[in-house]
Amino acid sequence: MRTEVLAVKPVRSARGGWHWALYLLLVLVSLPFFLPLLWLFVSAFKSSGAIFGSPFQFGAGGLRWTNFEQVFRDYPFARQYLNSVYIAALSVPITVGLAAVAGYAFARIRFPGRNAVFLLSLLAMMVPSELTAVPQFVLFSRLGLVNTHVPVILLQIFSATGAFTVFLMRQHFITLPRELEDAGRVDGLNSPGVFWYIMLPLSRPALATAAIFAVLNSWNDYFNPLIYLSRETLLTLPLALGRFTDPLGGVYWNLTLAASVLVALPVLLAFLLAQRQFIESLAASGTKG
Amino acid sequence: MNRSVFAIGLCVLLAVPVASAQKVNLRFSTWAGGEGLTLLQQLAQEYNAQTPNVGVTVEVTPFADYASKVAVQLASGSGPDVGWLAEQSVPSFLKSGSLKDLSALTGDPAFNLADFPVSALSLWKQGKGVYGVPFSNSPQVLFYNKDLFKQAGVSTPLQQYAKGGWDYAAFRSSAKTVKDRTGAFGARIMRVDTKAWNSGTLGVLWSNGGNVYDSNLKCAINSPASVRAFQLMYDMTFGDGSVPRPGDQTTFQGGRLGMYIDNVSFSAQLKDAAFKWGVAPLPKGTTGRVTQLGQAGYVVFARSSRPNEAQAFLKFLASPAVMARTAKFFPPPRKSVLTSKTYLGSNPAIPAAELKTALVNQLGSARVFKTSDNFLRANDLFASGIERLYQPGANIGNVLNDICKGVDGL
Repeated sequence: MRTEVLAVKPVRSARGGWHWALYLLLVLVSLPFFLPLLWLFVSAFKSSGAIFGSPFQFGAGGLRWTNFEQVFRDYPFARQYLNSVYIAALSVPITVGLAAVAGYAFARIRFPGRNAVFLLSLLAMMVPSELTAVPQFVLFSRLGLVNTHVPVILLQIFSATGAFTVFLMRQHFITLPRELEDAGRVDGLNSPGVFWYIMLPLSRPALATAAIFAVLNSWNDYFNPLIYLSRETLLTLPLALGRFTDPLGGVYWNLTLAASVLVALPVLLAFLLAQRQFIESLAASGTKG
Repeated sequence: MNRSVFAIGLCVLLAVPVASAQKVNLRFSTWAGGEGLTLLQQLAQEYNAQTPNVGVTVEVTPFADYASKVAVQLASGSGPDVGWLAEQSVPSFLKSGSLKDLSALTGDPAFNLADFPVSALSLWKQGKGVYGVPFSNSPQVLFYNKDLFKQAGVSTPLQQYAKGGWDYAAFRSSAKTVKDRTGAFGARIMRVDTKAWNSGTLGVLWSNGGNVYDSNLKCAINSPASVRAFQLMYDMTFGDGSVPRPGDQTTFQGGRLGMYIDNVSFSAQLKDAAFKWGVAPLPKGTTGRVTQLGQAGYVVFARSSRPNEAQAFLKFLASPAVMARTAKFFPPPRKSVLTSKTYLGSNPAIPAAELKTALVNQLGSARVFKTSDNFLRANDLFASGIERLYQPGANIGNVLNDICKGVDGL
């Protein structure tokens, strides 16, 4: 018995050593990701001149909150922020709701051409958006919807993001045991009832995954707003970041970086608060790197 | 019931264009930012007040995506009516027939096209047609850090210019002295982004007999004079160490650069600079003192459904009175505005005499960079070649030959 205890000790200390080595390696690997972020946050408080000086010194101007004031005072950034928030708030629930309904239908309801329709919907994910951009633009232009948020919202819901979330939900519903559905029917539920009272409550992790993807895609979308939005007050945040320039287009880096912090902050906070769910969601979707 | 709903819906849809036909809505596209955009929006409102039947909506696109977005808009039949166009986009827009001929303005005494120097209009003319009117005619100037020059004990570029000795030899030795005595870089010729390699570089090339294209738009960046000019910049970078190497992010705003070549609108970035600075003409080379003339102009797009109203709005924007106001941000091409006291005193950061010496007096020899219509693709080859050129031990002649092989093969 005593020899067993003695035998265990060196093994534990060796494991401890490995852990330290592993942590060190992880810290080193995280540096290339962490340092640019740190540079961004520090530079957001600097004057334009001090940004490209020593990376982590504030220079003569000290800590400048005025960058943040100026972003809101001299530019319609608050309005542009609101645009991004409301577009995400509108498109995400619709994307996820439609994905849940469509995913359930594709997984559980038998109807003629089910697989063909499913494949057709997946095409939205497989065809590069650049290929469909021109005909889509002509369509929305003829409908008089250019320079409105309608195309940006619709293309979030019905393009690659929408198709991916439908696919995600379908794969999830396929894995749920059919017996649960049968039990519901025995208790008198019809198809919508089974979906609402049994399937949806069991799908919270998958719905969270779909929502996270939809939020990120909507928040970071540059391409569609670039094509459809041309008025300063209609722009969303990714485009707004390119607008802190002098009259001929030279970039005001101090303002751009302050605004970038404000754009990145909600995503970073959301990640810190919901870190576990986020990683579980990525693992569940099979897209974790 | 359904039929009547459909019919009412159809009527409503048809009625909308009829009702809106009363007022013409023009779309004006720009990449302007900050105060420049505010001024343009104000001008659009003023125009609307003057001509109540014409409304103008100002549309913005970041500069990097501007030309491609407008081209896509025009191709899909929903382009703007009036817009800004940067000099490098002019050849491709002209080739595709996207610009309206504005020759009607030539005979308009109120517009007085003769007020624009011939050189300012050359980029915008094709055959007998005039396809745009510049609003910004900005020769590159040399910004210098007065504090660093004082610390190094070297006469400033403006002082050396006044004495008549401001040439590339003086430029090189001043940069080296600043580097040796202050530790800061003496000069930055090219911008940080190598894709914008031509800014700064062209002044050195042209003043020393070099070129990028010949008169037939064949690549000439490997000519003996061009090689000599690149050798000078290379030696300053790797021999003297007075010019930062590509990839080095040192900027003039940071106060650790003695001299920097850019357009005068760069002064807007120096509002909160913690050092004293000034502007001077570029140095003189073996074949003269030639600086790059940056241009941007107003154009009417050929597919505008309201070409007459669009041209009238352009006439308003490029009129002497309005150009005198936009001159606060963009050096005006109109001679009458350029030489006015109002313009020379319009930039509080630059004294009138300095602006006259560094900018107005250099316009006579300033040159627009005329490019081929495939310049977007060619520029990738130029930029990657320039990156290879600024490497220790690079063979300048060979790299420039390679660039020309690629560019002429496009």
